[in-house]
Amino acid sequence: MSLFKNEIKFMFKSKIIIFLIMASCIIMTIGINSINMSNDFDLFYIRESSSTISFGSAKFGASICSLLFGLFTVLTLDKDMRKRSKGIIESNINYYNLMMIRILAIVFYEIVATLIGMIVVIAIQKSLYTIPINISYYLFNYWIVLFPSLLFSTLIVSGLYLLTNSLDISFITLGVIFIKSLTSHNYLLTWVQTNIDIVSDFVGFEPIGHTIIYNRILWIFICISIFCLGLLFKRRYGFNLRNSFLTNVKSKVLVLLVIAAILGSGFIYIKEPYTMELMRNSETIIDEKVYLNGLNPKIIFNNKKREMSGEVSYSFINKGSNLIKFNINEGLKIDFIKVNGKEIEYKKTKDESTIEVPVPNIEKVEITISYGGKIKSDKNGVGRGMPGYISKNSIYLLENSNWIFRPLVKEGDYINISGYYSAPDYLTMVTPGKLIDVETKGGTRKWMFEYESHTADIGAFGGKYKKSEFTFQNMTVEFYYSPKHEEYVESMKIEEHIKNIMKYYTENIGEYYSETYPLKIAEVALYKRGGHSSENVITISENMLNRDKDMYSLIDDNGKIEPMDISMKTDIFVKDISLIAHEMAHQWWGTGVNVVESSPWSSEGLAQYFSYKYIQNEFGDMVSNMELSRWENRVRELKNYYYINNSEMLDKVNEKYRKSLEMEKIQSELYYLMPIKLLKGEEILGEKGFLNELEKVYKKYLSKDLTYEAFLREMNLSKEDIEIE
Amino acid sequence: MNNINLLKYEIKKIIMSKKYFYMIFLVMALTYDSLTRLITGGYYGTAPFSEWSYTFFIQLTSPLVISVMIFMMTNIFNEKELRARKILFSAPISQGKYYLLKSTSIIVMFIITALIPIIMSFIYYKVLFNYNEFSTFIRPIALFFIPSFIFFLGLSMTLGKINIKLLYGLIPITFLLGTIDTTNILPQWLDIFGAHFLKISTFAELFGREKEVMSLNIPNSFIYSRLTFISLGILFLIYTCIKTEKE
Repeated sequence: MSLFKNEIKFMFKSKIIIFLIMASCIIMTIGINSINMSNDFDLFYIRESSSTISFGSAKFGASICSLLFGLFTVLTLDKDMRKRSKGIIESNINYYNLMMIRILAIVFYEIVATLIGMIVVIAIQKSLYTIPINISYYLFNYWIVLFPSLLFSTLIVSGLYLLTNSLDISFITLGVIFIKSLTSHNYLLTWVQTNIDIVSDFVGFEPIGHTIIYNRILWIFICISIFCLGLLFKRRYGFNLRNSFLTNVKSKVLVLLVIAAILGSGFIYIKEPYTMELMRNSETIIDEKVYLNGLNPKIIFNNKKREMSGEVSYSFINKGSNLIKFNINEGLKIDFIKVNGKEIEYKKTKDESTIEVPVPNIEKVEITISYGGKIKSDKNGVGRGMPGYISKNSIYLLENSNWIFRPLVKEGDYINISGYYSAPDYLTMVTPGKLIDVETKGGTRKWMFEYESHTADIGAFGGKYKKSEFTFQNMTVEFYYSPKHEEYVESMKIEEHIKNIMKYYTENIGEYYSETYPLKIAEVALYKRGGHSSENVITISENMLNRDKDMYSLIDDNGKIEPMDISMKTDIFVKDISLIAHEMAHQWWGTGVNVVESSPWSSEGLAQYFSYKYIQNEFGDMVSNMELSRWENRVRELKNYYYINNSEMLDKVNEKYRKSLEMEKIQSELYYLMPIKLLKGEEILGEKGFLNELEKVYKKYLSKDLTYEAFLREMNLSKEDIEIE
Repeated sequence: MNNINLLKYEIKKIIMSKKYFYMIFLVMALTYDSLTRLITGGYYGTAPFSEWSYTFFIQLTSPLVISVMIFMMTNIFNEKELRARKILFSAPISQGKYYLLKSTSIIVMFIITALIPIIMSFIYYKVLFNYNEFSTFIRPIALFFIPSFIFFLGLSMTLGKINIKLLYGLIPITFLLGTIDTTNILPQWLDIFGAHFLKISTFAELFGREKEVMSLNIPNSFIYSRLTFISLGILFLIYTCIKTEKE
């Protein structure tokens, strides 16, 4: 203990540590604004709060300070070697005990740097930004994100130094591991600053917190492995590497520790429990002989345990198949499967993402699946594109997370959907279709709903929402948003815009498709960016409802913006409104009319076109042209991609890259090329004529399938007419 | 011993060390990872062998290569070398000549180290894409590799001569300047690795481009900034060579 105290005093006197702590505080202070310093335009002007300030400063601090403390550690450990005093010290005390004490002293100063940095940033938040402090964010971000990065850096570089006995090699190796962490998309490898861009103000860090903690646990094991390996190879006085190893290996505890740590690291990495490789819809093969015509989910959410359980019954019309396949979520374990009331054995495919259920070759088949567990997220989307999660204060389950196992069959003309979601009573659930009843019992609330649709893409969204409701003609909108963001919603007149969009679409496309089902718009966390529309529910990520107060000056009392004042803020606000308009347009094109996708044709093109028209109508040509030029640029850009023009070279790249390029190409066609084609059609027919024809198409194909060919025929256009050079 | 022999000895001392061998191994590992994981796909949809992709490749590898160089330079200013220098200076060799000799050996060492990712990339392009026109890569190497190297060489010599601790401080700074996005943090004149320039050019020229092959336009201002870094590096070197130390 006295050696430890001496070492702390000695380091303090050397002044480098004071400089390091001061530098760390400055770096963390700069990091407060790190979101606006990135290239992530979606996150620009996000309202500053404890979550954004603490995470930004901790993440930025982690990326720089981990390297600085790593260098300080290796310099401290190499000090005696450089000054040739190692031999003298070794003759007096156990040199490696001294090294351990030095490492502990550095860890002590890392704690001090983290603590002081945290206090400085809290003080800045309180005094300069006058934002109330939520200490839980600070504790999490500084002690789970920042401090472990510093600790890992010290442990890794210490282990490497013991292993190599060289300052240069150990630091350069740390540098390589550091670069790997910064350039990796795998959340398990991002030990420096984690894989997260921002902590949600709406639901906090809960949905992603466990992945960060898991990353930290994995790296504790990896660091212990490296450090213990270092101890195993530490140089004994007068011995070379081999002889030192042969002496060190006699310590059974150390050997056991090395084996346990290496095996532990491997086990934690392989058995990672939170993610899976989610199958894309385009990758699945549909059985054309079977139709789905009924779905009855009875789901119970246990938010405290982040679990769900329940029974889902599917009704099929079978025209000659003996097998029905389902895409599943690997996190959900099956209790039983019944076919027409009888429990049966099912098979899982090799990759565990699909199950095969044998069915009798009769017309009516009813399958009931009972399952439960924790939802797994997409492997490459942790923190940025999570299609499903359940946390204490929120539920976000998109259909593509396969939380309702997806039958790989055709969908009937109409699918009767009815069932319930049972969740803690402090949550408001946004259900698909029409809410028919709510029952509260013993701390849980059962939300019963029914719906008739041509798809079975149902989601479940829950949170602590404020709900507002408004109507226009036959259409009712339920708007669910966080009470925390009420001020922004009111100041930026978001509800007014939603009403205006409803009005514009009703006037220019036609009446909303249903008087029974209200349109539900729900705010969701930023862990899935952008928006989504499934059935009559639209989700929009919180950045659209939670920007800085500086944005308020953009709009006048009528919610209009000055078109001549085009700035980054205008662009961001218009993009937000445009995205809401896009998702709302899907209620007409997608939910109302089933647009049969065949690239470039899909509901996305029509949704993009109408959001553009709304922006043009609301804010004028100058503003809407910004969006149009973005589409044109993207189409042009992708057309000139090397691998798109030289597809024969694609065999040089790996499968993952090929798939992502294919995805990028399809997205560009659906989202950017198609609306440009539609605008060309508008140019040919004239704005009024084009919109009139579209209105007719909507009326004719409401609740029916609309193919590209049928669309062109109805519009009196040909593919050549709307071809883009 | 004439100067050439001295130089040969210095270079041999560095290159034949286990430490250098390991550093080379790391440079090779990073080069392989960068080429196969990040360059194969091409930079922003350009060909993997375009000037853009190659500039990006240079920017991925140069922080490590330059950090290796600075680490090797710490050997010039470490305690052991300082003790040897006292003996050396009693021989008929001037301080200027001594530092010139050291700088030259570092330059040779750097050339050898830098040649490793460059040769690896050439082999990779030849084997995978049957691409031979390596002359197109001269410009990225000349503008994005050499100026930063000369600048850091001069700066390291000067800082090392003042205090070896400053040299150690320079290593993480070099590393961070080359690896993290500093566009919105640091002024543009501090764009030593040319990362700000590449980012701005990407936004201006690659986004929404109208041709498949886009040449990387280098404005005169960027060339002047490179010349400034080269001049500063040479000035630092001259300063180190002519400023005599008190014995």
